Amino acid sequence: MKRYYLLILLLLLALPVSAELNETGINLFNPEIGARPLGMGGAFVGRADDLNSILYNPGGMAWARGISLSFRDMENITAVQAYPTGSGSSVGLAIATTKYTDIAFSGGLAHSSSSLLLLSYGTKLNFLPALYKNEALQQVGIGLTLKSLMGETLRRSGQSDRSGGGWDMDLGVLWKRSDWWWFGLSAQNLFGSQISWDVGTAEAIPSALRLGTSARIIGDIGSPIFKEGRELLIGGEIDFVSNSSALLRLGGELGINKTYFLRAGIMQQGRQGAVTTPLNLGCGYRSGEWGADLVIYREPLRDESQFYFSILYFPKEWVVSKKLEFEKPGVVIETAIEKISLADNITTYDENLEVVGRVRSGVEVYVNGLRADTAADNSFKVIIPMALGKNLVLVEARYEGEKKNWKYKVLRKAKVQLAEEKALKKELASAIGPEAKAALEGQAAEIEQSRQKVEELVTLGVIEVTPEAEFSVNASITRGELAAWVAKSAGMKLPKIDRDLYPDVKRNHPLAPFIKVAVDWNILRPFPDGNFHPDEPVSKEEGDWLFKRFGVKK
Amino acid sequence: MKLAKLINYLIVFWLTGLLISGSAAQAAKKAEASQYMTKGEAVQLLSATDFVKQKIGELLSWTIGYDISKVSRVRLTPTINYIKVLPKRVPPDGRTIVELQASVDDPAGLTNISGVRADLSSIGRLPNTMLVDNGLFGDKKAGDGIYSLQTTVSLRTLPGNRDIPVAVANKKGWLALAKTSLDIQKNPNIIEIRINPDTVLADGASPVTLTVRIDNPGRLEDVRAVAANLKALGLSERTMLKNDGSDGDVMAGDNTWSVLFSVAKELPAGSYPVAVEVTNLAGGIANGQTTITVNK
Repeated sequence: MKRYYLLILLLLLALPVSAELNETGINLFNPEIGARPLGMGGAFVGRADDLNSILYNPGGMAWARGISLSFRDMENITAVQAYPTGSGSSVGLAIATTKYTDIAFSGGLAHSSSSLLLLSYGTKLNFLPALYKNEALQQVGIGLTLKSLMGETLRRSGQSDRSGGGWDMDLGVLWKRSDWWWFGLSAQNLFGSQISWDVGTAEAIPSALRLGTSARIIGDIGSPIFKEGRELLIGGEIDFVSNSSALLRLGGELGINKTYFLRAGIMQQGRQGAVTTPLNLGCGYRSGEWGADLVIYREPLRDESQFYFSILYFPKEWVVSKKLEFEKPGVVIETAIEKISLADNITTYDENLEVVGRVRSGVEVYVNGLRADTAADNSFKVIIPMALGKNLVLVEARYEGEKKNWKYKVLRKAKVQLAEEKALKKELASAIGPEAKAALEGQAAEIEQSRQKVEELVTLGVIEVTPEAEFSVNASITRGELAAWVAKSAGMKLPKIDRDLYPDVKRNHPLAPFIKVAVDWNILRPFPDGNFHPDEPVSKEEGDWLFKRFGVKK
Repeated sequence: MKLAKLINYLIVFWLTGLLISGSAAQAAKKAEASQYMTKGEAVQLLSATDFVKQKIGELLSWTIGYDISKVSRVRLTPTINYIKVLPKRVPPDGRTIVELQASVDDPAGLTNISGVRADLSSIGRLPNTMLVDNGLFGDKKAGDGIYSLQTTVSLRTLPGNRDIPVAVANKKGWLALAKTSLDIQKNPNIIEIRINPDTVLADGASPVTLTVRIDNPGRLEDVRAVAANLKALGLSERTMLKNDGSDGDVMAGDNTWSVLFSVAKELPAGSYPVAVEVTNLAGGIANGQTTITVNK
């Protein structure tokens, strides 16, 4: 059976090419349109994550949604629409009008104008429950696109005008192997149909087999290199076209804050036996449900640079079944979490963060990779411990093989209670007269400022204060403490202590490494008696001298 | 009078001395305080250094340092040590008791467990059935972390392996999932049919023991009958085997059924088939066969 399919494939790739459209190099059935794919050098079969899937790889249609309008000029316009059914599939419709003028070929100049209508359907494998249980297969999309060429008019110098039409079909598969690495395959013009001309002749439609992959090297959670606000996507593709040699496409997309995109790619193109390798450059912009893309690329037919512009609209909630109010509406993964108590950029003093929310029915919630228990009303509440300093909270919704991440930044600051603050509160409570109160309030502001600084240093791990202990800013600092604070804050590399440092600083003294490094760096000096006196308070003179060395003057 | 005056002088003198010495101590203390650097001063000065300023700037920045290493990986979910289901093979009869046990634990201790649930929908029962650790309803000991549940398999359940997912939630909202499987079978299995001795003299006296070892889904008590067809040996077509420790059966109540018989003198020598049929209360049936060699 495998041999049989292989034979069909080889036959398709070896179909004869007649000399009507093909001699001019025009290939109306393989439209390479869309500013984003072109910006990536046409290496889009292994990506196919937007509406352009309908043109490049219908396997990606399983996830496609929205409308796009792409145009080079007023005579070369492509409109695409993809509508999710809500059950892991999408239907798509596209119409591409093209007009080529003054195309040089061996017989002179050619002009072509036509419209190509595409009807596409892409789905996940959820209609095969036995297969869909397999996690790997949950990330496979398959699709087909029916293409109908309408009203093709071909004018060639010295020859009579021709008009014709025809149809064919593409089949595609997209496999999202992991969050960041995808594969795609698209067999285009699979049926090897013909374009029928009005003069009674016909010519074969060139077939193509396109194999591609894409990788999000840098990006969000799940990428090999995590970089917040940046995304680097690379794609590669090899195309076997029946009337050309194998073509290579390589491209990349750099995303900034999911808003701005820069694209570049090399796009081998074949025409009349020759292969060119031009460089395409593009850019894009996304804002909410809208987007725009622009590319400058080499148009192979006339071998000249052209601009292509695309406008996109991709509403988050756009599901057929929901509008039809089916009994069990599908869940759009982007809106799988109905509400959540988290907001980005949270500052807290609490050791634990409570995350409360509600999901849509059937959605599983994971917080920091752990499964949260959802109640019968689809609500969830989990408590996450917060480390001192920066914390990243990852919330993931999973639904029938689909998953989406949200991340929230939380800064946990250390809570410090100053002894002076407590005493001042008592004094304020018993203060008599506005002047006394005002004076105390002034002191309170100063103490508040000190507390903030202490909290910052405790959060950084420079100062250690146990939760139950009070910190007194008016207490004198010892030489050992100061050595530790300075060494920790300056990030000094601590030495291994394998012998007693001083008679009063034994090798197992908790501050020994800090004292050693402080003495080595000549920040603090031992006493003439040969001891370090770690518990002696630091004299003002000594402290000032130390901080002067760091460029800080009182 | 003089003594009183003297005492007054002494008191004044002592108080004055006390006052002077107190002031001196206070002054010394003040001097000492101003002589040494306080922690507050050290904090202020340290915060003014370039390296601390940079660190604090980075700490308070929302665009630096929030990477994957800042995701807490503390183990918060409860753990399921094991799930046990007894018996492993059960008939879909709606009456055989199936006991499900889940041994669970939690990083914050067993008191943090908020509930253990099993999804019994695959055996025709409720999808959200609670297991208990209260020493009741089949649970052996309260508070030992082994949650138990007793149920039966619905008559509508089709034979085959059926998954039973178990979920454990804790009071902090975390969930752990695991599953076990239950083999739903109606028919008993004949493990072994043995005739001892397998070659017998047709003398009408030599004892022969037919022993059948059975694996019945559910309980052995639910085996309805174990019968042997000894018609070929000139005996009954439906000879009942026993599991009561008598008539050739060694032990009552085990999984072995036996019968004692002898072969009639008139029986010609040869090899004779002995068919065995086992039926159970669930309507299941199993058939097996062996042969016996008769000598003259």
